[in-house]
Amino acid sequence: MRKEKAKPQNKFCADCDTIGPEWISIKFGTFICIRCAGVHRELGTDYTFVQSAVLDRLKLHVVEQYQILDNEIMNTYYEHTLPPNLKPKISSKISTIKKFIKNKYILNLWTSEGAQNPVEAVQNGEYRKDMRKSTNRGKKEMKEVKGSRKKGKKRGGKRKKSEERSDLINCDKKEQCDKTQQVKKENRTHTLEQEDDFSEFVEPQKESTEHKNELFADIDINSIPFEPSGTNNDPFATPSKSTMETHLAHLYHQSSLTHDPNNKYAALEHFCAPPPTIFAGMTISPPHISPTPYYQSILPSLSGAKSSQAAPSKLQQIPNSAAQSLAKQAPPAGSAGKATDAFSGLVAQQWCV
Amino acid sequence: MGTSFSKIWGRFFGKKEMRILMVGLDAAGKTTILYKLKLGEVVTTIPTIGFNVENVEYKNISFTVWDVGGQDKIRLLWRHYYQNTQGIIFVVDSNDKDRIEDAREELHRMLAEDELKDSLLLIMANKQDLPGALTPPEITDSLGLHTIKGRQWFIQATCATTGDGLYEGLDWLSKNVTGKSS
Repeated sequence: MRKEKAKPQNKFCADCDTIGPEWISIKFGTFICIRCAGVHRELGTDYTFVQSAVLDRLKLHVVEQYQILDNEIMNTYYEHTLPPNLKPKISSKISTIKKFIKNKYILNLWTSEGAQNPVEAVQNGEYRKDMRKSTNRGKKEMKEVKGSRKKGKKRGGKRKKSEERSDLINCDKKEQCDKTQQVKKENRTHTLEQEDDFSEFVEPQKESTEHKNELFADIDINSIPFEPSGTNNDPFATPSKSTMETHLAHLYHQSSLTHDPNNKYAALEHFCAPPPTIFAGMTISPPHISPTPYYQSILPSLSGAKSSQAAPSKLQQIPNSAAQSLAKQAPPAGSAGKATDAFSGLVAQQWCV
Repeated sequence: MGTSFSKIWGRFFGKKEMRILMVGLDAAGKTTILYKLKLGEVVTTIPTIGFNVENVEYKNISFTVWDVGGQDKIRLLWRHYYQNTQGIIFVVDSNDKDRIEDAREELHRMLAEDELKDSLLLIMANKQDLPGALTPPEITDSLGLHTIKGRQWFIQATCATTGDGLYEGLDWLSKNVTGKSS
């Protein structure tokens, strides 16, 4: 059973996407996590029979069934018409998972009509290889986005072969995919909401999509001129320097449209045009001289206790206003006496050296 | 004088303790029974890997109930809990007709252990609320309880989700354990 457990199709719980499920719901043919296993057990042995793939000695026919079937096949059957955002997550409440499991397996809300239950087909010996193909095809149609991501990965592999490639542009392309995926998801939920009321399942997903929309509301992704390369013949060729520069400039322009500090291009903003304040601070305060010990050594010779009280706050001001004091050599306004004015001038001179 | 008085006082008013081991096939309802007794409510359980232990007070007896996981490979661990066990609760899923034979095998294997020769045996025929559930007499037959010799046993129809029959089972245990000590 280890082989079956290690299948990539069985990597996630069939009901809540928890990683590495170790329990099997035999009559439903799925691998599930321990929490969902508890819910499946509650349904009773009339509906399903839950065993551990690790802690139970499984019967031969069960192992044979799992050699043929996996979570992908079973979910293609049980979740044929299920919009992706109705599926519970790891963080979902147990009550949500309970309702979902009841709707999925007992009420068969999302089962593909006309299709034969793969578990029954296997038990009757009617399961054919072409059925697997057809279910896989259905799966592809269901999750076009996944397919596009895989393609992206493949292309990424090819790109590695080419010597230079901008990660930023890849990132942008991915963003475009996500956007199209979002639109599709929204359409699906819209149609389904018209048919049935699944508001309780819709809520959590809705939040995240809204958030995403807010975040990139200002960016029109389709407007970004993405061309993979200079020539049409070789789409994976290294882009020329000038095209890279235009892309970066365009991205920077796009990033300036968003006011969100968490936006994706915030790093780029620093890269393209660092704020002038950073440079000002760097030139004025030399990193190897710490002002505090110098100030403490010079202070007793300059003045008495009166100036020493005012001095610390002055010191804090100096790094910020140092540029001004350097230019004007004028004492800063305030209640401090002559001694501190002299002190600030001294410090400024010292720092110039 | 003082010690003898406290002994007499303890006999009438003191708390007795009883160590109970609750076993059975997986998904029989052991953990649900334990928490129904402890909390008085039905909790959604997950399969027990290892054990749960709770103290349940009933009729001046403090039952320490050990609920041990029933998966195939961890049934071997049951024997580590046998020592000093005064009562065994063997939980059976009355609706699981396919595995009643397995339950019978496990029960008789356990009763053959030397460490358990003095302990009471309470069978809980659980999930009686389900329509196709086997009745207690049917379970008595299929578990072969009549073949058990030299041991007090009792079968109780229960439903963990409603709590029916659970305290009747504890009643039987408490009566018999007190009868033994006096």
